[in-house]
Amino acid sequence: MQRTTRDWSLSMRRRSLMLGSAASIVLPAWRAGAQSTSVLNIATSGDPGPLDPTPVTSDLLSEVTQLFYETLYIFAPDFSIAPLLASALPEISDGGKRYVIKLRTGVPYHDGTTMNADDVVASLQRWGRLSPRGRTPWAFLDTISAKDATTVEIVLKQPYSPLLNLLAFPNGSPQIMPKHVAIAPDPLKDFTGTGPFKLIEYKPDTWVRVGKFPQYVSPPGKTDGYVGRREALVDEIRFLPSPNPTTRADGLLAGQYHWADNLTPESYARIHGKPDVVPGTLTAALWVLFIMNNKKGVMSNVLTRRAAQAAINCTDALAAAFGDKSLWTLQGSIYPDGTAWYDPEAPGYNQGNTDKAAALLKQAGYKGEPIRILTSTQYDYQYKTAQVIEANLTEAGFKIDLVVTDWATILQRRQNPDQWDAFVTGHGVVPEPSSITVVNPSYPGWWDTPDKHAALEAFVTESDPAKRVPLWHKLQAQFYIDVPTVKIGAGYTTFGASKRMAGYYPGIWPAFWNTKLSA
Amino acid sequence: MVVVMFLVATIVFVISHVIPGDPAAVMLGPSATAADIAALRTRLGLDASLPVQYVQFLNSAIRLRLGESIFLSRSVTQALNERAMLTLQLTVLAAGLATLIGVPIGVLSAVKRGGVLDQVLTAGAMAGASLPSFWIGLTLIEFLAVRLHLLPVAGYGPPDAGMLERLSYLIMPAIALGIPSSALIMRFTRTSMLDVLQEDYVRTARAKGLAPAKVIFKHAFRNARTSVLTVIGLTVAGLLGGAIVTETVFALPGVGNLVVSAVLRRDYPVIQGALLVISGVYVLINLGIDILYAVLDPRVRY
Amino acid sequence: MSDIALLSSPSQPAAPAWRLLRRLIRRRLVLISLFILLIMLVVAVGAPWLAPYSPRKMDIAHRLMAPSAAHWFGTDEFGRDVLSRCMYGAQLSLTVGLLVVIVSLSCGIVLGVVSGYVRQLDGLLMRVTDALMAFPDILLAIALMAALGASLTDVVIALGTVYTPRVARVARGAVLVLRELQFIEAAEALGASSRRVIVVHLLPNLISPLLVQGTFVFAFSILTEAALSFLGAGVPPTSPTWGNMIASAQEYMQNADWLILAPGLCIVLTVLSLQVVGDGLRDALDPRLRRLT
Repeated sequence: MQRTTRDWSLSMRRRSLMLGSAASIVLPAWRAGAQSTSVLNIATSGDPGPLDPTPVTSDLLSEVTQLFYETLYIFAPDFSIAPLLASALPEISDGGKRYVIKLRTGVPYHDGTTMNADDVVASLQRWGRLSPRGRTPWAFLDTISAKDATTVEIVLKQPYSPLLNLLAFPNGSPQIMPKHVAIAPDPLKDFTGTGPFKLIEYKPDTWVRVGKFPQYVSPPGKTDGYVGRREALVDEIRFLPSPNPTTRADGLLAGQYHWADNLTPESYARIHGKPDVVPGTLTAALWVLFIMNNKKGVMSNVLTRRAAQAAINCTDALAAAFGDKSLWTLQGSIYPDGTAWYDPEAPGYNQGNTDKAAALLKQAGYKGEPIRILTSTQYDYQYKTAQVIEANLTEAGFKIDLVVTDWATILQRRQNPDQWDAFVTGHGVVPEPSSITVVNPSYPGWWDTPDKHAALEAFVTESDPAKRVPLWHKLQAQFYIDVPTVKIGAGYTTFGASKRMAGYYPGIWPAFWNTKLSA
Repeated sequence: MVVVMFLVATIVFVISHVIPGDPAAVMLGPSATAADIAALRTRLGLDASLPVQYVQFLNSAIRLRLGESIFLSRSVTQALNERAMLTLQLTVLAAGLATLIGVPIGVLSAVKRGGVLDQVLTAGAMAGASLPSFWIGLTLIEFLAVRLHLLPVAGYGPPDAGMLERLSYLIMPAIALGIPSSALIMRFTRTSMLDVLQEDYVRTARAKGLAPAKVIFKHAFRNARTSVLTVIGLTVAGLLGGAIVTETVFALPGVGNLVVSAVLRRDYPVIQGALLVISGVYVLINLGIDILYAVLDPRVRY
Repeated sequence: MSDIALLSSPSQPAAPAWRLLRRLIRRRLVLISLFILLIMLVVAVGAPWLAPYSPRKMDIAHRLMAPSAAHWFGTDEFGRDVLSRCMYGAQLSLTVGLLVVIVSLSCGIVLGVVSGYVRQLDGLLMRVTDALMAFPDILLAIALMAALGASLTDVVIALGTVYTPRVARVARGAVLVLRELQFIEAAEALGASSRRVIVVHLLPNLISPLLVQGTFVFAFSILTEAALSFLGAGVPPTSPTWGNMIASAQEYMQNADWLILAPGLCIVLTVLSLQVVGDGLRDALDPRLRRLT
């Protein structure tokens, strides 16, 4: 039979009709999926990486793991400390060397067993061994033991006042897990914890799925930030890595996600006034830090570091990184105004002085060696800051090698002093100054001069809160003499949430318990 | 073909051993001691001499024992398996789209040679082949998904999504991926058809008074289709490459995305495994095209 | 993708250059494209003098400004002048393109001629090129970049490696056909040495098909380099390239679309012009198609 051109074009039309009707079946199904009230879709800036919370201080990881792990203590919005798995604040005696911690009873793990003191001892040992925050106090651990099923005793060789604080936040603190898991060889494969959710599935680069733990026993008390009652009000929470910030915001606007982490200034501005979503900022501003390698390489010379500090224009960096003025502040003091640790003495902060920097560079004997700055596009504000810093430094005569990788690679590389000279990071506000990462001499950056060591020693061995404040001022003064790190300023990270979401706590690590999705 | 695959494997081996960094150190992470790293190197066979490692590598490659991913806590084969379906669907969809658009337009253009339609279509095809696929993708997202809400923005859908729903996530990526290829297919079809239309037997058919459409389809196209098929086969390689970029733009968890993040993260086993498998697939496709070629064109004998 | 474009057949003994040029210019489209390419070249070479601003100079107070008299293409998220960045981007893209063409043509010609002329090596060399062509271009480029590093030289080496096999195939094909032609046989019969045959007779006849392939390699290397920078796997982001400009422009698409349009149009114009010129060259050189156009 002859096939004419007309037949041919008719079959084309038929084909397109079919495609069209297929699309109409498809679209409502996709839209319908977004209307479920039992699954919460959280879009994050990247994959959280291996789920073991102990060896790293990654904020993104804490956002996920705090749903299935709990710590002994937790801090409230006013930075006071409240018990979480412990039943009360610890009894501290013996000049600050002896801690007795009593635990709550009847707290179940996801596998059905009950938490006891042996588990806590094992978990703390693991933390002391693997955690960058835990290693410091564990260096002077004398003994740790389970006095009975619900009592743990820690004895130190010397007083260490930050210890309680170190036990009290979701990031970098000991997460309590069953003993057999804590003593199993690395890497961690079993993620059993006590939290309101339990881990269902981790598929790297695809999602982390946590599901409601029906037998969860909540800490008592009124909910206030991280403190108090916690309840799982959705059946499942999915963390979906969406590294492209535009797609992340687009997905939120389209209803694919209920929450989008870490919006860029543009996306943040874009979702204002949209009917279904509400923009928000986390409760505390991050400190943006330019951390330099004090141990090895070009930056180990204090003059080079001072040159970098002189060159950097913090105003430009913050404006580029955060956009609207309401979202950032210049802040030379390490702690913000309004906290007990505030200290406006910050000589050398925000100079943006290219000539002075060039002169200092010459004085330092800089020979044009390339300076490797690690950064990642995963955190947009960090990437933008790094680019401004790169421009500032280059103008002053530095030769910069901007190394852009993903955050997981930075976490790895920065452990090795041969592999970097500087990196940009954001630091959450922590209640205890000595737990600031850069204050810790074993944290990448390795700030450890004799004067600083002495000042830090004095600070952590002093137990009287009133006496500690001037000791902190001394440390900050040292910070501006040694310039191990340049503080750029403070900025608020933003998020977008669906109006159907209620009950979340937008702390530094956004918490999704007590959160429900309305229809 | 065996020789080619062997050479492919050799190239992959060379590349992955030139990539800087110590895989064992990367795998164990920052808290590893030198002793741990040395032990792992022995276990992985990394302290053997290069020729020995090469033989071991070939050995494992043949059995598709591609090792463990550093970051994904699963074997490379498993990681590839999980993502293969998506990339396959995307590539087939894009190839189908490219063919459906490119071939008819190419035929049309050849038939209407020299006229305004031909010139417009040819210009359009050239423009289409000049557009970077990521640019097309971004524009599509902006207009179809964000402004018009017609299609989902990115990703592959929730875990319980059905087949049709998943396909809706692939529509824009397929378009972005398919357009440059459709342009090339169109132009090649046009050239092949033009070649054929000049042949004597076509003029004979026309002189016999056969209807023009019959001439086009029964005689001309049938003879042009072998070379068109070759082109389609070649575009598949281009599509496999283009999928890498497209999957990144649309956040699709396919093989392409896997490769990009593996390279950026220095996940050596995955880089190696993906290189091997993807090129292997390409060689197989080529083989398939050759066979098809022989089936369709009785003049070809191997 | 590039393979199809490179699948043309070789031509008859080369037409004199001036006849070729005349034939090219006769078609207006080709003329326009050549003109565009010339402009791009001038801009690329003269960027340091022509660019109104330094491409790296930040002016945060004036970020994201729409095109105006002061900034013809507007400013980006750091207040940098987009026009100047596009110009320096042209410098980089065209440099990469040109270098890749040089590398792939030289290596490809050598490989192809040796392969076509020395029967014993033909099989092996062709298997090697098959193996190299079994990798999609971007995949091979990314893997090589991971192995080599991220400087301009590394990009050129990587892309050169990707496109050499394709050029080699074409050269070999041309050599195989040319060998059978009578004037070669005549030269050989007259006792000319192989080297003389190659240099005096073969090479000039390779110029036409390879010239055409050269323009396509140029076009595809620009596209591939853009894709590499877009993925973050190309040269470091501190130097502006059209690809990484598009990558950073993504989030500003709604409010500042000039950021994505300017570099995008630069790519499209350059690649399109190269394709038109390549097509024009092919039509002008191929005697069979001459009847049809």
